[in-house]
Amino acid sequence: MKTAIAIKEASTQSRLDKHFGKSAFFLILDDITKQTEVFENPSKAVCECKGNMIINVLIQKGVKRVIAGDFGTHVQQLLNKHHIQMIIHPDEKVSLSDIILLLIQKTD
Amino acid sequence: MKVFFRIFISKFCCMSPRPRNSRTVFDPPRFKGYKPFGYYGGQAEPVMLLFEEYSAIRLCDYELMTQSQAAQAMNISRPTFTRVYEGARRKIAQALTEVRTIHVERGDAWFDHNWYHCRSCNIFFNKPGKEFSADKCPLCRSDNLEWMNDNSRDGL
Repeated sequence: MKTAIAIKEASTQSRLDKHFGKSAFFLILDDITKQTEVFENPSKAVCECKGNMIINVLIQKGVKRVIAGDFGTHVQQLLNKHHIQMIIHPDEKVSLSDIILLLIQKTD
Repeated sequence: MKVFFRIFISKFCCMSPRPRNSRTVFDPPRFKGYKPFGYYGGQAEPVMLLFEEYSAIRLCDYELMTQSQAAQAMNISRPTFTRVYEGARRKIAQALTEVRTIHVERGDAWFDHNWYHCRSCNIFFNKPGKEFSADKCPLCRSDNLEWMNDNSRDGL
């Protein structure tokens, strides 16, 4: 299953981003092939409908689960509509490498 | 005649009020309450903030929705939303002014999707379809989970 994680910087030492729609980068992890892909949030420069744009990109990439510190109401409605699982991680200090480790260990 | 009178009384005079609709809350609050610090006075009774009131404050004052949009999102009428929102603001104002703790309570709220709380790694996750399991935490695989829509629970 592909999981998208909202992150602040484009590195594995990055912290989790507090807000899904406003996050700077996304990392997509395929827990079967263990391959990762980092890309910049395409809706960063847009003022409105950020959620629509990023969710369309994630759907195209086959993402089934998203992890962030928080999700807005509009984004939650869209994710529910497309049957994408949301994981709210309230700990802002958790690093991306810890989350990747947990997700990869899960399938071993 | 007496029978008709009884029916009239039961139908029109003793009508029970319309049942309250459950309010839709999108995601659960991630705290049990708030506590003031730096105050050495006696402890007053805590203020009980309902999930729906937390949600109203979040939608209007954090996500900057209009009251109509927020009412639509919570599946209630706009006048009802205004009452909920006003109640929430008054409770928060009372807690700040009278230096009281705030406790969150479930009330009539209902989450739009099944939300779970993992007591081990402290994350919240939902179950948007049958392909997702709710037996174990998707991150730490712990089975120490709490179903947020459980009516038997009160608060977190």
